[in-house]
Amino acid sequence: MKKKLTALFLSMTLMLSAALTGCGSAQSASPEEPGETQETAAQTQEEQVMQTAQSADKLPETFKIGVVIWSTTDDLGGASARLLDYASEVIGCEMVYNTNISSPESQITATENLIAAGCNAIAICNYSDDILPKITSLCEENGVYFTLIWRSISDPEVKEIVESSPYYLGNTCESEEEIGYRMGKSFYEKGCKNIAVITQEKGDATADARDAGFDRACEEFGMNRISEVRNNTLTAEETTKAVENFLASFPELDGIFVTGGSNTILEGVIQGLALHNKTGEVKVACIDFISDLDKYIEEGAIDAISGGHFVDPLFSYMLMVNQLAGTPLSDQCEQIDLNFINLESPEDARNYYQYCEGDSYPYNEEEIRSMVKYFNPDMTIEELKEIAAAYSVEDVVSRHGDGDVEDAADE
Amino acid sequence: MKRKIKWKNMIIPAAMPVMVFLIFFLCQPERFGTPTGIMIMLQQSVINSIIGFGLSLNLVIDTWDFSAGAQLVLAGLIGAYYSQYYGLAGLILITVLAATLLGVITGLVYFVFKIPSIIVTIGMMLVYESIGSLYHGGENVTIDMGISFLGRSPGIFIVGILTYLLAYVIYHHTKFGYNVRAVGNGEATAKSIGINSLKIRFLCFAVGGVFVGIASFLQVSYGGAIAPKTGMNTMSMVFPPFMGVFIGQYLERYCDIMLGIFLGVFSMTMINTGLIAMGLPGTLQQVVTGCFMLIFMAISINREQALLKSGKAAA
Repeated sequence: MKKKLTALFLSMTLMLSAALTGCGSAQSASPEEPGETQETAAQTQEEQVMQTAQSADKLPETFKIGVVIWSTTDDLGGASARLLDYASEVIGCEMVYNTNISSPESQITATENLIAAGCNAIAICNYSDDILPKITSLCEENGVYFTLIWRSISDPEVKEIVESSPYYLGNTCESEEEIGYRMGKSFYEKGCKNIAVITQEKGDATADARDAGFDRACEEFGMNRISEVRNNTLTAEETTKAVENFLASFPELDGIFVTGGSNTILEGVIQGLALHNKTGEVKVACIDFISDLDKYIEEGAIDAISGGHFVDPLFSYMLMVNQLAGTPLSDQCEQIDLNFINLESPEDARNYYQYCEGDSYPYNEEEIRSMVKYFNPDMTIEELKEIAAAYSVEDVVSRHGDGDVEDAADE
Repeated sequence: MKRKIKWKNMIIPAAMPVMVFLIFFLCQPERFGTPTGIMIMLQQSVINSIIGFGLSLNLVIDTWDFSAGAQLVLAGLIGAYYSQYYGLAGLILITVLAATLLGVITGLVYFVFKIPSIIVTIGMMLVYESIGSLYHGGENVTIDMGISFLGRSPGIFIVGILTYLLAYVIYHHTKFGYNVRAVGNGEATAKSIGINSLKIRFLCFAVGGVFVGIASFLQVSYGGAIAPKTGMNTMSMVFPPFMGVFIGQYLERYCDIMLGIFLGVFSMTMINTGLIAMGLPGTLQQVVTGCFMLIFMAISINREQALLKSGKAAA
């Protein structure tokens, strides 16, 4: 009995002290500065509203999006990865990149790994069409949606297989053959006749298409493709060597076409020409942007350059995100066409890096969110295609040129 | 006493580059073999020869180093990055120090775990490639043109000649070089005369790192920029020097191995340049280069076996 009374006493003491402590803390905050209490309450309420608004800004579920890409550290791959990371941060997705690829076959393994890592959808920059039937069956077996980035399917049989899959949502691509042709034409316009080519090994769909376009221009304008170097893993040093070999063997050389200039390839070409005082004399046309373009254009080291297609994966990404969010933009696979950006003057290059790439993103938070039907019920596939088709430096400047530029450094 | 000149020792090493030169010169007299062209080919042979000097120390004792390309890239990235702050001195010193350190690390892993060199060096290559892709966000590094003069004539030749002399002295006139040759001639015999072969193998990786470092800053200077490489892509960088070492090892009976390496690399460079001069499509260029190496190795190995057989028969 004595024990029960002691326990009851202790319990009551604890309850009383707890109650007094509660009152005490309320009292200590309130009497002296009543205004502050009101402010705190208002702040809390505002925070709650903000939190609710913020949570509405994100997708209801954090989807995991995989990307099979050659690299996320070079100029092109790195810029694309940063844009996708930014978009995912805005709408609430998780990105996983698999860059462990050195051949078309290893892209199948990379896709398998991403599926095993729990990705809900995967974007693939495929080296060739041949691997796509296998990737299609892998994605179907695992219920994973997929899209292609920077690529279209040229093989009709493969196209039929892939496009009949309900898990294939579409692709974003640029007219690779057309850009090769345009580069070829630019040589003709600058009076070039004998051009050497630095490109990828046969089988790379993009490089092959650019090559084909360039050959078409050579045929049409009576220019000679005098020599070529094919290598998928060129370094600046190897490219410089290639340029020196061209110069030594072909004194008539007056142009060099680089089908893909990222990963220090274009820097190697510029260095090779500079070593022999041929800068400006031998014209250089290149696809893919590199840093310091304004300087190189100003020095006359580059005569024609197209690129800026780092935004390409964003549109395929939107196809996947809309599908995963339960608001698909289309009930069939779609192709989104994107334009290359051509830089012709140092000002063009400076504008590009001010508004499109580098410290800025070509689409701000609001614009990214508006591409997702979950946030913007009015979004349609046609509108998304229009956004992609409108992409240019002028387009970005017109949207962000009033100072409303997204600063990547602040993110 | 007057030393007798062995003409064979001069003619045979020179035969291969001369033959290669003549083949392409006869096919393309206007495009191949101009003074400028020869200068360019010599210049292009320097970097791979220097890598070859480093690799030869390992190959002589049957140790393979596939991590040399990754060491070169990683050290080059670090050196090029610091050249922005410390100029040419930063580029040279930091690149050589970094490559030597990486060589020491590879050697230590080999020394401690005692697993086959192919496995160790492929593993280390993957590690170095990954570090390279993480270093400063995996960004490409471009160096200032003002400090890239060592990548062109006459700078590249001066560094090349000095490095050749260094390799020559290390290989022929130091205790370490003697031990390397002793282990290469037979590990059991070397052990019996008190040479610690495992220690020598470790030192070969470390000394090889110095040569890789020299090649690295020359490569950065020559190309003007360097980018990280992943997915075992650095492995392809060691094949041309390997070819040079194979040829050098064959020519060793006629001339200094280091000179043989240079002649081998120079011949391979001439083939590449000659194929470009002939306007061959890129894919065919690789086929021809591969065939040349196969033919050379087949002839040299079969000739050695034939000589051995004839020697036995004579005995």
